[in-house]
Formats: sequence, C-alpha cells, structure tokens
Amino acid sequence: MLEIKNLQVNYGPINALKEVTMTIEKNKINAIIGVNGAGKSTLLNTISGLVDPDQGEISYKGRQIQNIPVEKRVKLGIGHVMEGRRLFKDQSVHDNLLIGFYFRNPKEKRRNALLKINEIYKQFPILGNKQNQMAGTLSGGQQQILIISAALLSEPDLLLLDEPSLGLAPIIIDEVYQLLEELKSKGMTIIISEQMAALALRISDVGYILERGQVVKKGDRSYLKSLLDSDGLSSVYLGKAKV
Amino acid sequence: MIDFQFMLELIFMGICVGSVYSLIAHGFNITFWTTKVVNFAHGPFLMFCSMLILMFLSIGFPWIVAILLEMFSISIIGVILERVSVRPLVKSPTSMGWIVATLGVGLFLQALATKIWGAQALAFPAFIFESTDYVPILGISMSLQYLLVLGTGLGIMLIMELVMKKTIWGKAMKAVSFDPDLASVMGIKSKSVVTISFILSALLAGVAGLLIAPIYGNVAPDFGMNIMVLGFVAAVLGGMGSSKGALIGGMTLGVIEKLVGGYISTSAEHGVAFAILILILAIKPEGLFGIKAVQKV
Ligand SMILES: Nc1ncnc2c1ncn2[C@@H]1O[C@H](COP(=O)(O)OP(=O)(O)O)[C@@H](O)[C@H]1O
Ligand SMILES: [Mg+2]
Repeated sequence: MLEIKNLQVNYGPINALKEVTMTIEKNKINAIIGVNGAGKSTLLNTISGLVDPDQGEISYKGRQIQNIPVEKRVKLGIGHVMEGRRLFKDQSVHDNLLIGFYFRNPKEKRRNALLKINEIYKQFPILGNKQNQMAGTLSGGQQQILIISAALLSEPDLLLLDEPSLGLAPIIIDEVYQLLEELKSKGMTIIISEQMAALALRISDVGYILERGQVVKKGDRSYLKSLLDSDGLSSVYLGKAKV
Repeated sequence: MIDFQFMLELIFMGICVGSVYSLIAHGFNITFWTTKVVNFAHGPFLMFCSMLILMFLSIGFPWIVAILLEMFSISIIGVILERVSVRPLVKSPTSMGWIVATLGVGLFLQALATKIWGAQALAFPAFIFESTDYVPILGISMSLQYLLVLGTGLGIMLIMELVMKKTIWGKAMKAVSFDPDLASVMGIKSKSVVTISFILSALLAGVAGLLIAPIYGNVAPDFGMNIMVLGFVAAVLGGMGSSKGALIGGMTLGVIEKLVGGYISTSAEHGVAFAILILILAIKPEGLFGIKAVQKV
C-alpha cells in the first residue's frame, strides 16, 4: 500500500526524520508511537505532502508520490486528519463538510455532495443538528468527529490521523477508536500517531516506535505489548497503562 | 442657520468621491481574503491601468480593444506581483516584509510610468459620459461619471457578498486565508486560489483606472498612490476584508471629507482622513464591519 524508503526531513539544522523506512500494509491499522518531538507529525505530513522530504522515496499503490502536490495526493486517496483538530472554525459545520467533499472528488461526483453530507448527518446526528453553527463552537469531541467525517467524504483508501485522541475525554476517544475500527472493517488502511502506546495498541495491528526521527522498534501488536509488559523498553515512551 | 441645500450637496459630493475610495477598498479586500496581505501596489496598478488605456488609445485602438489589452496586461502584472513579492513572504506570516515588498512593486511601477510617459499629468478622455453630463437629483446636479463609479462600487459589493457567502469558490477563498495547509489537505489548490485573487484584484484596479481617471480628467504617475491612501483609510474604516465595509467606509470617508471641506476648510479635507485612520486604529482596529480575527488554534 505504502512504501517509505530512507525518508529524511530537515528543518534547517534540525533532523526531524532520519532514514525512515517502513512498509504499510493494506487494510491494517498502523500506529506511530513516540513522545512529543519524535517526528510523528513530520512523518505524516511528508506522506500527505505538506512537507517535502530532503531525501527518500514514498510510493503509494506502486506509484512514486514524493513530488506530487498535496491536493493531488488527496485525490489519489490519501486522507489526512492533522494534529490539533484543525477546522475552518470561521465557517459552518455544513460548509466544512462541503469543502471537504467538493474539491477532493472528481467533477462527476460533485452533484452528490448533499446526499453524501446527509449520510454523515445520519451517522452523526449531532453534526446534523449543528450544521449551521460555526465549527469553532463545537466541543472538542464534536470537532474531531467533524474533521474525520470531512476526511471521509473523499473516500480515502489511506487515512492518516495525527494524535486524534489528544485532549479528548476517554469516552470520546473510545468513540473515535470505534469509528476507526469500523473504517478498517470496510477496507481502509489507517496510520495513527499517538504519544501513548497503551492507547494506540488498543486498536492497531502494527506499531512503530519513533525516537528522535528514527524507527527504533517495530512489530505487531502482541510483540509491542510484550515489550510494554516486560518493561524492557523505557516506560517514558510507552506509559504504563494496561493495554 | 444651516443651509440644507448646501449640506445635501456636500453629502452627495461626498458619496460620489467615496464611491471611488470604495472601489479601491474592494480591490484591497480580495487579496486580503486569501493572503491577509494588503497590496500596497494596488494604487499604482490603478494608475498604470489608466496610463495603459491612454497609450492603447493613442496608438489608435478603439476603447474596447484598449480596455481588453489593459485588463490583460494588468492581470499579468498582478500574477508577477504575487509570485515575486507576496508568495515568498506569506510563508513566514509574522514577517511584515510584504509591506515593503508590495510597496516596492508599487513604487517601481510609478517610476516605470514616469520613465515611459513622463512625470507630468496627461489628459484622460471622457468615457461613456462626458464630464459635463449631469442629472438633477433632489435639486442637485449629479455627475453621471460619478454615478457610474457609485453604481459599479455597489454592483461589485453585491457580487462579492454573493460569491463569498453563497458559492463554493467563496468558501474556498475563506478557507485558504484561514488555514492554507488545511485547505490543501481538503483538495484546494491553495496557490492557485491566491493567484486568482491577485488577478481579480488587478482586474478591479483595471476597472477603477478606467472609471476614475475620467473624473479627474488627467493622470500622473503619482495619481494612484494618492488615491490609494484614501482607499486604504476607507478599507480600514469599514473593516479590512468586509465588502459592506468597503462600500460604507468609502462613503463615510467621502462625506466626512466634503463636510469638513465645506464647513471648515478645503485644505483640511484629506487631513481629516488621517485623523480618522488614527482614531479607528486606536479605538476600533477591526473597523465598522470587520470581524475580530478568529483565533486559529
Ligand atoms: N515547522 C518546523 N520548523 C522547525 N522545526 C520543526 C518544525 N516542525 C517540527 N519541527 C521539529 O522537528 C522535530 C519533530 O517534530 P514533530 O514532527 O512535530 O514531532 P511530533 O509530532 O512527534 O511531536 C521536533 O524537534 C520539532 O521541534
Ligand atoms: Mg506532532
């Protein structure tokens, strides 16, 4: 699905990613785990195209994409839910969804906008009830649902989520995670970044531990869980919460 | 005892002059929406457009061809301005470099105009209406040329409001200005939207150059800079980025100027504009209709 080879990203003198190589398999939830500043956002931003790599290759569905602009990658099926619950807060819930739908779909699909948005309202009635409110007035959890919904309107094959649980109440996190599992069951491939391994490993099939821009550990869920349990790995990265 | 006829005359005059300022303020708005940059080359754009029309007319082209050529040329200049002096700078939004950069392009155009057409004012012919065409309204004779500018300003405001509020393109423009990265992730070609906004704004300078020059009767290289300053005050007064604000801000400024001119002294007319600018910036920096910037994060 996605092959990352020797990816390197520098911000001036800062090496945010150093020779990152990974293979993301289709229809799996992949966790990128690391502390603040480890390079998780940089990795996801480079995959979606917001950041240009200094070196390395990214191939998606067998096609080199590192030189394709963001808005084209989106049309190829890469959805990105950025860190920090970014929304057009000065526009209505409905307009956020409309923008989310319109520009990422080919012309012939655009007439279905209202149909598709109504499906979202059916699935998340709270968004329907608040469709005319400014997106900025929603609660954190509602905003996160709105952002993910907007991302889903382009029917991505690969969905990137950057710390979607940050600042959300546990019950809302459960809701978001449940949604991700549903999406996986429908065939989507997901990459999710989290600071807390315990959290991410609840739903992910595969995990990568990122430390100062390098992948230091990787493996399937049971392997990473065993690392957690044996306490062999610094608990700083993983937290001690029960998985 | 107040002479109402005189006051009404001043107010009408003010509205007419104000419509010129509004037209310029609309031009500021379009690029402000997408980049949060105030394009200080807008006035010189306007002047350059007037000069280009003059040049094409003098070559012997008919009006319509001269106008089309002028609009085409200024669109290209608009694109160049965006590439050269705005795009490299909006990446670091905290920097104020765009002020110098856009003003620099403006001064360059002014110098270029001086080089090509000389520093003295050139006569500009009447367009559509003669400068002596008047209609009586409430016993006051109104210049048709001014009314044309007024109508155009109003029409542009209506179109802008409609486009911004009702169309997906307006929403996209707002989206790009609010968060260009998020806009790209949503599939919007942020860069193209910005470029298009500079073309639209340049075209508006083209319209303004065409309609305003006949009112003044002549154009000199510094003509654009001078009225741009007043257009800027109008935009700030109405609220930068607001179409309604551009219209009302322009009119208000025009009327205040004329009232000051009529009752105090004509030499104080433009001075009062700067007093208004300072006052607005001190007490209500978002202007009459501007919304306080929404916090992004
Ligand atoms: N735009 C930027 N400019 C300069 N340095 C940056 C920028 N974005 C991130 N960094 C640096 O790159 C490193 C990785 O950051 P980031 O990818 O945001 O990590 P994470 O998402 O894991 O917290 C950090 O040292 C951070 O300070
Ligand atoms: Mg991050």
